[in-house]
Amino acid sequence: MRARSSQFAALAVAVVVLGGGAAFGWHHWHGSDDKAALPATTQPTPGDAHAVAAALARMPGKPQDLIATDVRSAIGTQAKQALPGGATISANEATWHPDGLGGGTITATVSAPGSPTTVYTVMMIKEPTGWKVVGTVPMAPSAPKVAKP
Amino acid sequence: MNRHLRLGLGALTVLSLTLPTTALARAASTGAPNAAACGSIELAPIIDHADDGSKITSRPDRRGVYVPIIMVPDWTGRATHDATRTGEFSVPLDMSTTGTPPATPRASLIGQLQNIPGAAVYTFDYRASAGKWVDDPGIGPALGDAIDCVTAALGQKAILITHGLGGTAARYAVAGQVAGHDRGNEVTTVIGFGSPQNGSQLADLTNTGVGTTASEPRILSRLLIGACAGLAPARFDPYSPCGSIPPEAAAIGVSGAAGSYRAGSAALTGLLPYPPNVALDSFAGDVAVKAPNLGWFNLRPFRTDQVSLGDLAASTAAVTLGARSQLRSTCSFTLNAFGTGEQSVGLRLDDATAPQLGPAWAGTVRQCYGADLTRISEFADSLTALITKEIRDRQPLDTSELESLPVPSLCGHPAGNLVGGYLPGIPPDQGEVALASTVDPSRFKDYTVFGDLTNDGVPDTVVVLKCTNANGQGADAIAAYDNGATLLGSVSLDAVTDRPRDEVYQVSVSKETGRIDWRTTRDTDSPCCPTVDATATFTYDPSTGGLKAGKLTSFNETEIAAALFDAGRTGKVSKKAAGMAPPEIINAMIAANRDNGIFRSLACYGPSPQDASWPAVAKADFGDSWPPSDGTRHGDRFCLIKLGATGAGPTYAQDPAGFTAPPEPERYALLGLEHVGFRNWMAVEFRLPGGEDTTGGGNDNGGGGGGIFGTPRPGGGPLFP
Repeated sequence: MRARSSQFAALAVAVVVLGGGAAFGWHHWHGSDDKAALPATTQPTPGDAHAVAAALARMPGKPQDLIATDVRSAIGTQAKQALPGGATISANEATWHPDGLGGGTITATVSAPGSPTTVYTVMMIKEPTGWKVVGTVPMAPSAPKVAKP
Repeated sequence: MNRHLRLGLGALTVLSLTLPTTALARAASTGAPNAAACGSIELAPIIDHADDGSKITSRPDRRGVYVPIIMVPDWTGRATHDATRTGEFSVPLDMSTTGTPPATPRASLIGQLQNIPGAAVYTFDYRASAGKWVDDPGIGPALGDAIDCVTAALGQKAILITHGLGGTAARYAVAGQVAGHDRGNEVTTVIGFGSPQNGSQLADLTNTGVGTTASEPRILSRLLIGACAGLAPARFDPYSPCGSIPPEAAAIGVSGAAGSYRAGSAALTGLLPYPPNVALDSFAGDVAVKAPNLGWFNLRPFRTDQVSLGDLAASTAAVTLGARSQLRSTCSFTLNAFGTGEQSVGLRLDDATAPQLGPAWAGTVRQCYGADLTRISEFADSLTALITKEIRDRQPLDTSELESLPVPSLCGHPAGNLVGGYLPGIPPDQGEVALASTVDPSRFKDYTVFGDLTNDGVPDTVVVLKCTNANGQGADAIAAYDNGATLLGSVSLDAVTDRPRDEVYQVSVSKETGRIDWRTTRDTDSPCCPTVDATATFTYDPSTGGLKAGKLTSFNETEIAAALFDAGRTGKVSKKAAGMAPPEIINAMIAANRDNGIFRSLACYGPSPQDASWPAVAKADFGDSWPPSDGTRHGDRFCLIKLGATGAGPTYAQDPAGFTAPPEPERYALLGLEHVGFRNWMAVEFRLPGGEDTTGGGNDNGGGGGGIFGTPRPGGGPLFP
């Protein structure tokens, strides 16, 4: 059997990583030499981080423009309620991670007068008309404690 | 390998000494044929031990043949089975659908299959084309060629075992590229481990338009991949989410295969469906995630209670689509995200049944992930059962199964199950029901036949049953069974002939139609010896679920007797006559026609005690009771040849017009015929009326008249070919 315990132990403490670690490549996966067989990607790259952050920064003005086609029917006409009034969005370009499938994730902070600042992981996708938001998950400020078995 | 080369494989095999690289050869270490000539597949070496620690030995089934089982891996293309255990079917079984793994890892999936008698396990490794669409020459076409080759070489249809997108390669190869030109005659079953029939869930992420399915799985899949990316440059177990999903996403999301694996893509919808006679079975992972915080900033427009992520790479619905059977391995998680604005997302997938694994989800293997499905103990057991049954189903029933068959009610005895070839519970003096091949094992091939009566591609079994009642009477029956020993139907031959005694010579099956050859009685037969041969076809009637007998045709001694009669009268001995009588009898008949009276007519009778129609003159000549009880066989049927005047014309037809034959005394010669098999008779003696003799010689033993020709056989039972 393969030895996995050391990997698990390392991962258990490394689930949260600094955005500075974003420079990566899928060629790290399990150390396989088969990576050479994979054709070159034309997917979004780490270099798209600035464009993604800029799109999010413009969102408070026209949130409907950032609705991904895939979720348009779910959101309908409620896009303006997605952000508190006067909100600004600041995305951390260092946290941009392309997913290899046309999109990626980035960490973004939403601030608004009178509202608590919220940090989101934002799932983005690149459509012909620009970067769109697929969905978000708010990030709790710290990891929940590990439940005892 | 193209088809022309494949067609030449048989010849190449013969020439293996001179063309060793192109011929299939039997691997010395395994017994199963290797596949050196079959392109991209290779025989998996045996590197496992059975679960009980014993050595796994490849061996043929009881027909002496191997069924090719081809392992087709996921997009990585890695299937080679070796000590590195990096092939997707080579990892020991260390997981369970219940989450409780085996106490010790069991033999790998390949090892489990190699332990099945008749299984020849081949791996199709296409890593050089990893991630490409299945029309790549190294994937679908290569697999198709390998199937052609190995099935031709082994003479058996193949079974394909696929993992993940290897199922798409299998479909390309099996369904073919032109309707009607599929490999449905070469492949019986495709068994998928997480193999989607209508696209990859990951590939669906490339769909920037409106998806045809709920968007929640796509959103969460993208989130998981992003979280994995945030953990770089960590190295992950290749069977964990972050070790398997991002590489697959990267591979299938690139330009070469972009969108091809996505549901509804032109490439995918262009694949033909599996031929209807190819069965699909499925093993699926089923990950359900609660994501209460999934939203669109402040909005909560999504269903978040139980988002199904399938096996992370393919949806459960896509994997089980069209499956004849399916098993699922499930996990339930609750998703939480944490971190600060300076951090990439930190995710937890908390499992209520294994809470300690929550933080380590990214690198932890679980029984519900697509990458891990080939490691699940219960799945392997189910797969083994499927393969074992299929190979078993391709074989006819064995002797022990035959002697335990269920039998219908016959000649007054109730239905029941044979034990040791006999129906139990019948008192010794009440007759018996028995498998004919048990009663007379030397005639097994006459009494037992295998053929596909039901046209389902699987051999059925037809047996002969012997039945007697308390009086020692009863007719044979035939009964047909499917490969699972289920009674398909039966025919009792007395129902066909309406005669009480019917004895089967032989039963056969060809192209869904069976044939019975048997003998039966007529009123004038002696009790020992039925003299009428009969034949009838029978078929399986799906509308009634039983056997249906066709038209009855019967035969007796008339044909051969007439041939001998003609030989005697004309002196011309036909081939048929020569084969049915020794020369001395034929010569005596010719001489009698010449010297003792021309042959006028012929009529055959049973033994005179049973046959009241004997002419009185003949009884007076040969005795009131013919044949005599002198310990020799005089025949089963007795043909009386009416003799004309000596020296008269050869036939009435040649008498001149107006000629009136003088009155002739009524005299008969006697030709004894013995029934020696199906439509087969032998003349055993020729007798002239009492007091006469011929120039043909003879061995008058004083038994009832004049010259006797031929050698009556010592007494005995009926003869069979």
